Amino acid sequence: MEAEHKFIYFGIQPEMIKILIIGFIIIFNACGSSKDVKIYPSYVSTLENAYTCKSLQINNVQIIPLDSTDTFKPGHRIYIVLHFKYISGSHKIRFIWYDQTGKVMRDSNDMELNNDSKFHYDVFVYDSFDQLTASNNPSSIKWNIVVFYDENYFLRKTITIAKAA
Amino acid sequence: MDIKARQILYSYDYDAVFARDQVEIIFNGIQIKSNYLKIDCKSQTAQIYGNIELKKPDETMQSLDEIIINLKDFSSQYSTFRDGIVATNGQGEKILIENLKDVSLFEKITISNMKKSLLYFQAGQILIFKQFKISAKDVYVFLEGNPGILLEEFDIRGSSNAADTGFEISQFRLSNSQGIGIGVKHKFKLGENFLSSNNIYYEERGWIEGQNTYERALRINTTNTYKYSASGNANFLVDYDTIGSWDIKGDFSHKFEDGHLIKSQVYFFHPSYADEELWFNLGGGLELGSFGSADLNFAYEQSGRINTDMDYSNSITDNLMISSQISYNKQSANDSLLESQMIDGAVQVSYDTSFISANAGFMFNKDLLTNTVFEQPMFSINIKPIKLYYDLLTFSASNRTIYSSLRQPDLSEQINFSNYSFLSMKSDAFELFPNSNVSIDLRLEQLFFRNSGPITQMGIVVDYTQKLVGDNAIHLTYNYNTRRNSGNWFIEGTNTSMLIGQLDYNVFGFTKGNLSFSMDVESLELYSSSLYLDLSLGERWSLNTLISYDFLMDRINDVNIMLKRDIIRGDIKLRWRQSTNSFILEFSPK
Repeated sequence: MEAEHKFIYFGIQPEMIKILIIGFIIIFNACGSSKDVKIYPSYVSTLENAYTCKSLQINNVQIIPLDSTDTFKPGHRIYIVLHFKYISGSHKIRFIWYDQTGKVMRDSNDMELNNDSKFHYDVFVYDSFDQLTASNNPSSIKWNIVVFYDENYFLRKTITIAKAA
Repeated sequence: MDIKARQILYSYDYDAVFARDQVEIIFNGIQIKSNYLKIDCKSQTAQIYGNIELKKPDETMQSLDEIIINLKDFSSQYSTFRDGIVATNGQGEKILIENLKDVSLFEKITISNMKKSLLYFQAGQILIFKQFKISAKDVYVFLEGNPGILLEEFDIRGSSNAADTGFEISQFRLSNSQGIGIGVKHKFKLGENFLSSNNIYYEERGWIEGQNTYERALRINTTNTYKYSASGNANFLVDYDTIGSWDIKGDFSHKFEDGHLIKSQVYFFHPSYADEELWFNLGGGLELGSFGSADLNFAYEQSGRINTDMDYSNSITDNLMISSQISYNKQSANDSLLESQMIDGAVQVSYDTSFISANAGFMFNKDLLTNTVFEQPMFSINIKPIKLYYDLLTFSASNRTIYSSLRQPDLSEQINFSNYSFLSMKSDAFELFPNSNVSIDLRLEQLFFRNSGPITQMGIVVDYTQKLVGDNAIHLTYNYNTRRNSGNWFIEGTNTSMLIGQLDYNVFGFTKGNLSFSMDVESLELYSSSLYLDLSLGERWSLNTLISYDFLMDRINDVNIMLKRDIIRGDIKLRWRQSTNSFILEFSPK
């Protein structure tokens, strides 16, 4: 841990400073005197959201995840959908599905990140719960879906696959 | 912990840090380079991921995909995902796949969420200190996405952690009728057993015209809890305000292994408007196994007030239950109290089956000073709802008889008697036209009072809902009620009938609301109407309007307008009310 450093204010609680700053910014903006400030460019592709869901509605414009959940039952298709806000340049994306033991169950391999669509998805389909489990007969298992962006680990989603009631 | 990156954001709304691109983290002699870093400040956990290069104090290097660190004790989990999941703890021991840390906590920390925050800071370097105070260098402050000022060095997060120890703003309010109010809360935890919570609330009303209560007030309260074992705790509370009231309360309770409970309390109360009071309370609960349970309480006040009460209840069988209560209260006269001495008692036997339930009870009250006695036996029987015709029709009935007697010295005994019967037949909702639902509720009530004779009351409620496109719908409720004095052959009484209509609308989730009215069906006269509008302005802002109109008075009853900004950890609201011409600006944390 670093040593305590000097405050720019004296004896006033940080929360109070925040309120004063909010007030100051409101006045500052209202007066219209705000000079141009350098805002960091969004040159990196920006992820808006990542969903896992049971079905998709695909139209010409976009892909809409339906029944978003992280718990699945046998017979479900499992979709993972990434919604990007910006995509800049050409990039590759890869989905790898790991089972409860860490074994690879599906690998999408590198796919071109299509600049036309901000939604990208991968899907896994299975027939029965027993097909996914070893002999110890658990009531549910946890899988990890790992997404790689330009060969770098980008995000991980954990889903639960439960046995049919 | 020292963090550098090309872009670091701290969001006040989410109380979280997000850093990306050439992230460099230094802590405990460990140096980490990665693509991304997310910190959830509330739980004090961090996720570092993407092309990680980790350099340990002994200069050994390691390549990883994800590190999750608990920043309270620096316990961590290192993972690689390329060739199957390989996860280890900080000491290099393997972690079972099912124990892999959940990352859903970090899902909300995304760059777009951070930028939607009401208040966020962007910096190139931040330092995280003990108690999770965060200070930053070269900070841009953004309010509602608008860049404001540039600060060279600034504390973007105070050393607060609501979950444990620290300060937080508990309330902020600005109003033309109630003044300015600011509340600050401080929590302090010592070990696992001692928790202290302190609130300071300041109100300023001096600038309000015509205010006649007080100009300003500071209110302080402190609650200290010491949990000395799993079965017992002691509390110490103090309240103080500058208007002149204060009180001190100390209490203690202990639960024994066999279920018995003992509790005691000393309470001193000094109000600004009345005499001070000093109370001593002693109480307990007894678990008597198959003999039921009993509660006993005794309270004594130094000026001679006494309150005692005893409750007893027992389930004799699964269906039969008996309960009783007796209490004695005494007080002597002073400036604000009259002298009194009272005994109250009640006993009730209830019988409950799946078909029928019955209650028999007796209640009495005796004023020992005036020798007035009130006694009231009662009996009620209810038939549980019976479902007929494939559950389409529900039938229920009940009857209640109450007898009461009031005896006062030198006056004749006042006796009252009443009987109330209730019959109800209700239909389940059924489809009359496509996309519509109808339900009918019929009820018949017969009341008998010793003084006024029998009254018969009958009513019908018809509910009709017609679904339109999307979430739009029309609801109509017709209510007809007739009340008749049925003692003589000549039946007199009143009829009322009312129609209530409502249109619910929702336009693409952008604006939703309803328009409703109520009217008298016989005279076709409108009573009142109201319009509710909910307009969503972007993702975090909304505007609500409620207008109500009174047709009998022929004027607008009230207009309420509220502008709301959701800032995740609370709401900021600006409200205006026409009838009182008052506005209020309020920040209330969730």
